[in-house]
Amino acid sequence: MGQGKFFQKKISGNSLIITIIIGLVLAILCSSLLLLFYYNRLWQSQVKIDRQLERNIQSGINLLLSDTSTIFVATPDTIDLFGDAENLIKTERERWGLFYIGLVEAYAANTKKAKLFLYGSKPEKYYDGCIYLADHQEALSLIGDTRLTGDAYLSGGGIKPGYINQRGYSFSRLLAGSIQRSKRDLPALNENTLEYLLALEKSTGDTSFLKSMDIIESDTLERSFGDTALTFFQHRRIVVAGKYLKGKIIIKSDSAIEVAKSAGLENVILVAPEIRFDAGFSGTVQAVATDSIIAEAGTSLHYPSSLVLVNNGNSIDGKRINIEKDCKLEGIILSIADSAHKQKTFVNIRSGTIITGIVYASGFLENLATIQGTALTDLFIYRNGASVYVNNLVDVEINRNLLSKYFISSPIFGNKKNNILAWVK
Amino acid sequence: MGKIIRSRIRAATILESIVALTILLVLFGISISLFVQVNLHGGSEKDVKAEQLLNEFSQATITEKRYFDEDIEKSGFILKKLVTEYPGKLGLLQIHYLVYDSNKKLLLDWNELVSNDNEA
Repeated sequence: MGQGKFFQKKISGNSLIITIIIGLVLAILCSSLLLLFYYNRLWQSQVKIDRQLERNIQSGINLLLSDTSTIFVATPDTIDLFGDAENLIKTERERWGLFYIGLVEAYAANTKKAKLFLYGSKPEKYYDGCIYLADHQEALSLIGDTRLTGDAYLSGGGIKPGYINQRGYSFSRLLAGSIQRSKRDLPALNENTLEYLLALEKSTGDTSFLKSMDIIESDTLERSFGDTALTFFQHRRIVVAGKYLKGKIIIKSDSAIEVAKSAGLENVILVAPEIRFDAGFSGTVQAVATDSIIAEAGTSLHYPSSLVLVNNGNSIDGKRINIEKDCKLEGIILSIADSAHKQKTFVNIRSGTIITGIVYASGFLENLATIQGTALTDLFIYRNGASVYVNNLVDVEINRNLLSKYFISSPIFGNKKNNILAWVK
Repeated sequence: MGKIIRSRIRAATILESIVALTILLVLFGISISLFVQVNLHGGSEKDVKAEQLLNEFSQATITEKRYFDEDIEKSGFILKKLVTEYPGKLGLLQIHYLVYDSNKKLLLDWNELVSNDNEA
């Protein structure tokens, strides 16, 4: 049979049909494989980019946290991390009360990833002890069931057991820690942060952004820390009740702010001459006042909260932070007073209250609470009826060892090392 | 209806069948070559393993604070770490991680910034 004849020979008609069917099956298999390879490759390259962005964000965070300069410059910065134009990030920081807001954005292959966080810093060595009592040549007397755990910075008068109403000191050991000599003044606060707190109190910022609290119609208002701050300001008393406010929100009054138990606040700043938290309130707040802050019984302020009494030069009597019975506060209590106002500035903390963090009281500190952390003051006072005793601690516990070694405070206390307080949105 | 079922289509020549099969073979060949290409250039098992090892190496560096140059061999790979001070930032280190296969071919590398806690 010749070759021509072979090709002209007809075989059974259904062979082409079978070929076509096999062909279709193979084509479907091939195209499925191609699609699978394509998506697999796409996914792998996305994972690779994602991991690169994650690494660059972490590098950016470390870069931002490495800046421990006391002068704060809040400028956005675009950085080529390793000089190869492939690892670009943008960092931004801003003050938020006693803490900072950090933003790091990383870019690669038209993809962006960002992280927002609140950060603070580890304070100077003076805050590693349980007590810092400014050196006014007065001894510290311990009475009753007082327990001090941690190193103490004390005046030249030292520490001794005392007696009030014929009641002495219950234990044999005065202090579980070493004693070091304090200075005449409390450890200096960061001037830059003090100026910011005063500016926060004085200025109303760009008034075009100011809003009245009345415009909040819904029960919940959330503001991203990536946006500009939403500032509510009123020339009258503000009552925050029945609303849940979260994020970059400042509530400001030139009179007073009252926060009801029904309110929910998360990372919000309150600024007013007088601020009051009603009994049973719970939230995360930074309160900055010029005259008084009162936390009624059962108030619970979570980390990172702060109560700050700033010195704006007003010479009113009885500037005070009052924390009533059975409160819980995780964060910072700070009263700032210059030498002219120290005799008129008080921090009063009632029994049953637990403070976890730092209590820094320029002026007087009347403490009947448990402090899991550090107390710094010019003078402790204890009232018994009409009598006032100076530098007497009665039935209190101050324990530095109960404060986590990971506790991060504010750069206002010095900036040893920055660290992240909380991730925010 | 019965007519349609019973009607026959024209039979194909062997040539036609061979041409059809050849086209299919070529298509199959293309897809296989693509498969090989994908495996070679992106996300082969080797690359995935290399990345996994480098991740572990990077984690161990941070948790154990091993902030110094290091070369280690693991599972047939050579992992390398170069540590330098990050310019202009005290206490911040730049770590360059590299991973090579047994033929000293660079498979993967990346840079990271870490804070040197020992100096804080």
